[in-house]
Amino acid sequence: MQFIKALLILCTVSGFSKEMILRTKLPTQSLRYISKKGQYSIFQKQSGSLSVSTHFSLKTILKSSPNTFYNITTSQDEVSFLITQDKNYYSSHSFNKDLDIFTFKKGDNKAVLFDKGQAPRFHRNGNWISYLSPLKKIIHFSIPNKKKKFSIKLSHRYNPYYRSKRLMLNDEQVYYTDMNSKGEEALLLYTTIDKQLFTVYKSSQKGSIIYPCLSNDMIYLMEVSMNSSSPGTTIWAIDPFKKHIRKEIYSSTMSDLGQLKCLKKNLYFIKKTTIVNKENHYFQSEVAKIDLNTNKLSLISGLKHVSNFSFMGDRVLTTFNDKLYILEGHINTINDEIKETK
Amino acid sequence: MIIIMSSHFTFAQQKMGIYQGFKKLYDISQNKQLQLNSQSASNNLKISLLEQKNEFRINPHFISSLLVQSQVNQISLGSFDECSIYDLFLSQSLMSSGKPIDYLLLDILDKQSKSKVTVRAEKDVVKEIIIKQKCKNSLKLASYFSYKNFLAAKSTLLLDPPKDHNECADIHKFYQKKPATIYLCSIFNKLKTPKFKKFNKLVQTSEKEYFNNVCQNINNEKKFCSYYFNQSYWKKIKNNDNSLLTINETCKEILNIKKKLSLDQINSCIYKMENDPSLCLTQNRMKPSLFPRRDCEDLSTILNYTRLKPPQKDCPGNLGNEAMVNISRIIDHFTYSEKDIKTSMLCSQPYAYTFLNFNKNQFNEEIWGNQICYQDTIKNKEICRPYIAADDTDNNFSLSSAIHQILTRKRGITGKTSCKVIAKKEFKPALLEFQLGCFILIEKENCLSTSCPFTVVYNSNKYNNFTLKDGIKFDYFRTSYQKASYSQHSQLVKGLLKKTKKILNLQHLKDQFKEHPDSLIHGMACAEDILPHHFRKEAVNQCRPLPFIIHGHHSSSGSSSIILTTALDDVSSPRRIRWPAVYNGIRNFVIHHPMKYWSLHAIY
Repeated sequence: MQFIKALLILCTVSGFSKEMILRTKLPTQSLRYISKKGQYSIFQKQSGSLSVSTHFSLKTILKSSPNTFYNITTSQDEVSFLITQDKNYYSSHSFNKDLDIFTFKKGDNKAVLFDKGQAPRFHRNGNWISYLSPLKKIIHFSIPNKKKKFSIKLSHRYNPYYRSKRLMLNDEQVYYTDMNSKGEEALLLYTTIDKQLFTVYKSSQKGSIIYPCLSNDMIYLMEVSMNSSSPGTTIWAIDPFKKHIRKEIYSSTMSDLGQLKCLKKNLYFIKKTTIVNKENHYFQSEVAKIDLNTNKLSLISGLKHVSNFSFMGDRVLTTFNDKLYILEGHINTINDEIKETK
Repeated sequence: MIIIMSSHFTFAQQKMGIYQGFKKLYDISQNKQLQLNSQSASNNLKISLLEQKNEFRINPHFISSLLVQSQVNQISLGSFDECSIYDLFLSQSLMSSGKPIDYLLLDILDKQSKSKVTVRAEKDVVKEIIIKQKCKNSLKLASYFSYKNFLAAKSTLLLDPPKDHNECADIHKFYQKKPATIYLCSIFNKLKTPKFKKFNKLVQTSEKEYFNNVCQNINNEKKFCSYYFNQSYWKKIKNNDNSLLTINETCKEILNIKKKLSLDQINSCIYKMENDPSLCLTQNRMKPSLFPRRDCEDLSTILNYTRLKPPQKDCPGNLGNEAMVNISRIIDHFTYSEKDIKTSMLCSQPYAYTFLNFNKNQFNEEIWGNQICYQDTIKNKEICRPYIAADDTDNNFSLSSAIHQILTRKRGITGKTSCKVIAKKEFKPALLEFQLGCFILIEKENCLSTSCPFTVVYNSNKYNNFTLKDGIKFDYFRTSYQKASYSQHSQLVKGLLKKTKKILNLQHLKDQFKEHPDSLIHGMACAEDILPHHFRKEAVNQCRPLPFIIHGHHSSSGSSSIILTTALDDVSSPRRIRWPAVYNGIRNFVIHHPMKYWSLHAIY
């Protein structure tokens, strides 16, 4: 794959996209999932329950007390869901507390309790699940029915709030991030057959943060420097089938906000676009996209101060000043059109 | 006078060039001065004209010449009112040929002869006849700044360092308008001279630096403020014991020293930090918190704007409850005292004690659900008491005290036997020292102040005649009208006897700090917006509530960054976050709130 450094690509940055506010019949803050055409949605109610709404029915898949908070992530095909349930969202203030994790499949009537932990993710299109036990510093990997599972003990010691990022190339090769006692973050490969560890990439300077993601069997890794005297961002393409040989595909002299995430055709991250005031470090940021076919970098938001984004299937969304924007993907989730009678 | 001088100067420059022009002016001025001196000497006997209440003024040429020869920085101080010139005179700030003058040349209008007479009035005469009548306060001020009263006088002029540019401008104006500044600066400008050397004993090094900045930049607000905001925080604080707390722990890690640091060691640490800013990024061993921290260069700027009083021990990562960290930091700030915390106390203990004590005083201790219970056979009922996973026999809330009390009631152990909390790995039952007595074994790695699995061993046997209850639950901000007064925000306002105000926008925030410099602003926002490098949004509407304290702002050229410390951060490593990101994080949290309750409030 031929990549051009982002410094060159930046010259061809396309104009800001017209981000659209997501319109749903429900208050958007209640929404946890909505299908592309808007016929299927999962939302939380004030009563504390989680419900599925389709064209023809409404069913409760989880019940709890008021002030319960849910998060939902989906598998790539948007058929399976991982749900975290925080029953004491406003009253138990521990960042590292374990939450109840449930699995749910489209068509099912109830969500099923899977385990306790945090930050559950699907891998291999819903065939594997990984999640964290932050207090015990363990990453768990399991298939949904738990018949196959293994765990990895993390070695980081000084950051109690460290969240390891993990990828799964196949059933045997698992990648995850960890940090050594010097404060260097690394991407490690764990082979499940021989239980061996191999360092794929170690941050070039201490105090850097790395973000890996996987697209089409290629690992992409972003390193962001936290050192204000040597700021910078680099994205590498790492080929896991060619001895993890790596190639730089993007670099910037500014420390971007990171959060590299992959979809099949594109990479997304939060880019610092302008340093408005050097003196007080005031800057602007947007969601940036690198097209993996054309190597073109473009900004897909125009909100000036974006600090986060998420995926829902292949749609890219951001919440900005309490409004939910669709930056890419299907936009019309409400069809209020009155059909003419024939 | 300055205008006249400059017009002369322009004229001279046209004809002769800069140096020659100035030389010529200087010669003219000196000749005029000599003339005046001889003229006034011949009028010495006419000093009685003053006593006859004839109109007079200080000879304009004489005073202009003195102001030119005196320290430039103090000239503007003399331009406020009639008395300021006498303040300069009394404080010996008016110089001629490098020496303070002890006389004035006065032009007196003789009513009878209707002519102007120039007279030399000696210091005593000026004091007695003019200052005593016209400027009584000047005499008082002069006595306040005598060696005897200097300590007290100096302390009234020592202000807290400003936390933003507005506050700094106010402080600068304060010194400019204060006549006492003239006396103070006169002393500080002459500290090296034999006559004033003795004052050095009464001034600390940090005060010297502070007042030198006042006196050298009394005419220049920009320079005066740049001392606070554009210089290394480390250098600035090295002579200030209270501020040193901010870097003490970081320096201990950098130098790998556990004891109290000497000034030499601090200097060496500062040298290292300035030469390798990345050193501060990873110093986290002693104070588990969010990592990486700020680098030393960034931190040095940020700390110039902070107003949060640093606690002596701070380990957010060891407490296990971030809201408790925030609340305790706020309580510590408003009840700040310099008393030493027991060195044996674990890093996370003071916050847990502060929080529990505060809530106990508010009759709100039931929120502390971590309780140890036992069946009291005499009272025939279950007794429960709150406990903190800590080893401190002097504190009723500590685990060691709780277990000791149970053993006293159930096993009748004496007061002398104490229960020691030790790591499981360190407990060697075969050794004699562990065979008798009470030991509480903990797994150090999994032990937080709010959650710490433990086993009790008493006289070599496991003791488990007690039950545990757990769960510390409380609202940070109200979640319902019924429980509104029990939220920690309400408790803080009530318990600290403070006022509170919603901070809805940036202007509110700036005004708050301007009107109440000692106030803090606390709030709750989505961690994904405040700390995007660390917490990614993986799900739609994901929001992890993160408590934080705002304790300053860095505003420049129309943009503002907020100085804040989240409950995950080490208190000595605050952050600078652009205001829109903070606001965005708050809005994204509030939208989920059952009462849509705004979550940014000042306490003052």
